[in-house]
Amino acid sequence: MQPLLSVQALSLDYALSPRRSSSVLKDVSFVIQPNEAIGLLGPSGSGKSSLLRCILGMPAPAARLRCAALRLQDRDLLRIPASQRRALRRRSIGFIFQDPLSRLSPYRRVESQLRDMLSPAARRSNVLAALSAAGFTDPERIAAAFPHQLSGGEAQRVAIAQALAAQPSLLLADEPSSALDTVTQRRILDLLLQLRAQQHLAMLIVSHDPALLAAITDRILVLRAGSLVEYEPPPASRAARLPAPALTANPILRVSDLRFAYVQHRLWPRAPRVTPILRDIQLGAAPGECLAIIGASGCGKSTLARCIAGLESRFTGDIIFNGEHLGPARSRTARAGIQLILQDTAGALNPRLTVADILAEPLRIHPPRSAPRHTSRSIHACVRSILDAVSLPAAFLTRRPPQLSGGERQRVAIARALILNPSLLLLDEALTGLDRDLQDSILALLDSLRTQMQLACIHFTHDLGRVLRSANRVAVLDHGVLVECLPADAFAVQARHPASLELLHAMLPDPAAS
Amino acid sequence: MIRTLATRIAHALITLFAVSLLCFALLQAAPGDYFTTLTLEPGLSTRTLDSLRREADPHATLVQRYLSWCGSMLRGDMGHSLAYHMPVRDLLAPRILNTLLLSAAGLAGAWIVGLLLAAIHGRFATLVHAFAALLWSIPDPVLAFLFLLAALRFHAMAPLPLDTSNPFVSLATAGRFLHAISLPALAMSLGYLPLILRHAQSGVAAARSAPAVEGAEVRGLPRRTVWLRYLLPEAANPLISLFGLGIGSLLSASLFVEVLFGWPGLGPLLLSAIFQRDTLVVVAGVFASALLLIAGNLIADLLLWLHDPRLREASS
Amino acid sequence: MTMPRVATFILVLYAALFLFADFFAVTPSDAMDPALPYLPPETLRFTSLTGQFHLRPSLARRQPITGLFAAYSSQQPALIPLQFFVITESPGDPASRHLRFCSIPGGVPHFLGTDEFGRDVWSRLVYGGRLTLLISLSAAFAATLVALAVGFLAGYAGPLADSALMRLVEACIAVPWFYLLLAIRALLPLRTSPLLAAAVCAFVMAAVGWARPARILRGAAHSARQSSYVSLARATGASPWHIARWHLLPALAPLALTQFSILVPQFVAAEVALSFFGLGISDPLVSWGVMLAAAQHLSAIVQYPWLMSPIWTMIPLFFAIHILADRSASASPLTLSFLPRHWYKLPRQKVQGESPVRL
Repeated sequence: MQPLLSVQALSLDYALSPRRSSSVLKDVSFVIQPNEAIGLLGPSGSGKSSLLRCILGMPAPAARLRCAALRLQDRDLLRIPASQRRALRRRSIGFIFQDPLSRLSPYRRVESQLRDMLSPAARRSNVLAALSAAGFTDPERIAAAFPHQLSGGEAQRVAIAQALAAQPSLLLADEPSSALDTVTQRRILDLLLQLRAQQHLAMLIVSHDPALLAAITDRILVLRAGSLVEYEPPPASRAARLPAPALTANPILRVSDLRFAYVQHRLWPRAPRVTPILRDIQLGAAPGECLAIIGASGCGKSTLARCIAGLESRFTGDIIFNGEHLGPARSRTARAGIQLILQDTAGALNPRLTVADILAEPLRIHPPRSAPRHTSRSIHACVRSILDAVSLPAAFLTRRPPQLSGGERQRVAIARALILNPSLLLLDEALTGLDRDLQDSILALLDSLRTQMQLACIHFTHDLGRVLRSANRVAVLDHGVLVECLPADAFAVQARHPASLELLHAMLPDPAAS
Repeated sequence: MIRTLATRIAHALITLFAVSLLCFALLQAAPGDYFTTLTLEPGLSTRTLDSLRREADPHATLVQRYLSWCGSMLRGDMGHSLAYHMPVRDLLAPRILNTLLLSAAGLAGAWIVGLLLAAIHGRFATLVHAFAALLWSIPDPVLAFLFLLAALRFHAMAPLPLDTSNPFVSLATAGRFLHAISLPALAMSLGYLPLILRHAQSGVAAARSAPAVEGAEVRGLPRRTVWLRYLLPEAANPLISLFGLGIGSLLSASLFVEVLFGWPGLGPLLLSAIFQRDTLVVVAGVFASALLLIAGNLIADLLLWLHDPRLREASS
Repeated sequence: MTMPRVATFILVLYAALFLFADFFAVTPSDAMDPALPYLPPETLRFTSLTGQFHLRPSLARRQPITGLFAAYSSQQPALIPLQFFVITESPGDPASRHLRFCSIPGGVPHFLGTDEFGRDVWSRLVYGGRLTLLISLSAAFAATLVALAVGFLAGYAGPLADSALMRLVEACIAVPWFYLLLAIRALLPLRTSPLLAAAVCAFVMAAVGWARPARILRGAAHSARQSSYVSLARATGASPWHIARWHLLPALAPLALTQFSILVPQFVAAEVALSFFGLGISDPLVSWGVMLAAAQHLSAIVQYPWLMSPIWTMIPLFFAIHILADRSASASPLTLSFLPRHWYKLPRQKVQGESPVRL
């Protein structure tokens, strides 16, 4: 049988300067049979996206591509005129982006953008049918909507509808679900499986998550540093989870009756518009404990983290940290003792400062009492030791955030949060989007700090699978209400609330187990 | 949606009030008035001047004068020019019309040529870029001046002198009018062209790498579709702002061209009024151009709002 | 990458010219030579009258025709050998004693001709440029400082003060700038000492020019204040001073620099326009605007085109400034080395395998 797509000896490098070039892909060869689903696994920076771009026949302008053959069915993509390649992209290849929302033109309705992918004679019913095929139950509403009115999951479904509108034989997907929360991710994956069965699609799915690929593909190719290597299931997770610390009489943090609402004041009508976000949150964390607060996106996780960190002042209720009531104004000890880490590392680190300055910032704000005039030398020593702790080389001190990769930036953000020896660490989706290896190493670092320094961690996340491996207790937040709080090892058995059950259902099986 | 527009209009009104206050304060604070420039006239005694002054303005304090001026403005009466002995409104109306004609012709020319040049890419783009950079480096007054010199030197189209001393210029026939307007309008276009070129070029360049446009490319849509339906809407925002700015500057952008080419517009009149301390004429003229500028901003806001559904959404 | 280099070169050239104006000018700006009004630019020759080559150039001076105003004989000109690096002094003016880069015995070489009163255009160009740039640079500096202050204020003031300030800014922008310029200028005494007039000129331009950069800097301060990194610093307990020093200033400084470089050419044009209408610099001081005021008589310009030399001098200068302002993100370190490098230069995105170009 003729393969659908065959890639033979594909190499790609970027010319950095006339003399230097960096090799991105080295001698990559593989085939995809019709109706076969292949996963492409690799850490960030391994050349996955570049490979997809080559298959589309549009390598980056600065790239030099060498390839023995790149055939789709019977045509060599690299040896046909650009106009035919364009037509082929439209008819035979569907593509799903990592960031579906920004790939839709914000100025036009979904219907007219979808119509561009159909034949000019397409009727409204064809558009609606394409949307229904992508799993929408109310295609009329989606067709009439502008992209910004869609949620992340809806945008990804629209992208799928667009990709499949011309009934291609091959579907390429670049991290199709990494921007979505777990529940939505699961639904999108289910949809892809179902479409594959219906339309006899071949799929090439790129991801850094082995669990995801193991769940929906037939075989997995691994790309490491530009070369294809053999896939091995990851070793089973570290068996030992740190035992929950004994509950002491004085928890490090106690939250009671916390309410928060966005209030929008207007001249007319006079009545302010109130949108409640958090309702009657009761929460406690012991020193050295790891607590996880999980929930779908928009459930109020980030707001809760911001309230505890002191970034929101208009909440009601009590937040007691180390015996101190935290209001809008709080002591400098409390400010140093609670540290927040955000998911958006690009925004959380000032792009104009060096890593050394970023890490020194908390020390400049809180000079230790023992040495009131904090000399630059002692600051430097602190910064170096903390950089070592997150296993980054000292050469990073002079770099700036835009020069770092996402994982490196996240480690800098964690180092920045740890440099003041806080007693409570809030991680707002801080590990989401990182490679699994990196997540494990950061969790190991936090574990050691928890035992050594009685650091309490609260993860705010939607990723139940990882949390169940590392946290002591799991609390489920649903539409601003804490609905359940259970020990992590008993969660799978004891969870009763529909929101918890949905999260459990969405959890992908651990590929190590399979 | 209505809320945003209402906020915008309220802001515009506040700005307008601030502008009127600013103009009025500046001109009241200026030492001397129209009559001090007359003190050198041998035929006028101090007493005559005093009575003339009282007659011209019976209000004693600044606030009273401002309020009475505001009141008459609201009634559509802009006061009486002391230097020209006629109502300011009748003085300004034909001048404003002339200026609007000149600016509109100049800006329209610049927009057409600018957009056409911006669409060029490839080998000639560098040439266009260099041309824009060169024009951009010459300050407006100097550019108008150089243009006038070139026209004079080559005698191809000598500027037609129009009588500026008489505010009632009737531009008799269309041919004569076109002849008269062609040179100053061209000079204006030249001054405005680099601005449009830069905005259009950078807008298109930024839109080319916009995620949505790349998305359309990846989906293999025909080039025409990508350009018309994805790239142009993406590139339109800065141009819309510029368009509003252009409308706003219709009355004020042509000052140097008017002075140099002797065009009987608002500019020369206001200049002489400033030198003669003819307060009401200055305030009315400046106010009119400020009004247009604010209106231009409002129009740009409205167009942006129509263009971008996200703005419409954010306001409702 | 050659364009910024050319621009930097031009700027350095002009800076040298104006810094050492006394050296490069051949005579004081107000030294008149009533015998030589409207003398056309004089040429240099390397050959003698007999056609012999000389390394030392000579000035070809044409003799005025007696009895006629500004008429020069087209006969064989007198050749006067140039002297270099001479200390000269105009008669009766010991203050004008300076080392000049070149001179001729008993007179002044007029490389760019003379004006109506026989004043040397080249020397006036150098001295005038110095004053024009001094005024524009100080006005631009003041306007940028005010704009920076407004930007910082927006970083701290409440929404009401911020809104009031922005309405004021918008009102200033809504009034056509030249009318505002004239109106403010008219506020101030018209007849003053020349030096005061120059200061007034700078003040007026700064008073008109601050609003636009203020709006831009305020926007930048606003977005910096709302960024996650400032939120995190505040959560850690950073003082307003800390945030200003470490987060606002680095965000605003490059923008302020760009705004400054955009203001300078605008202010040069404004000075020219003010002096053109007789409201700017006055004799005996000289500026480019004063020189161009002679251009009000179009016939004079057509007859004596060398009077327009300030225009040709201005254009390369503006060109260079615009090129550098355009690229201030990667601006030539030469012009900006007094600032920490990261204030004006953001590092490029890390070039790793995946992402030199976005998909």
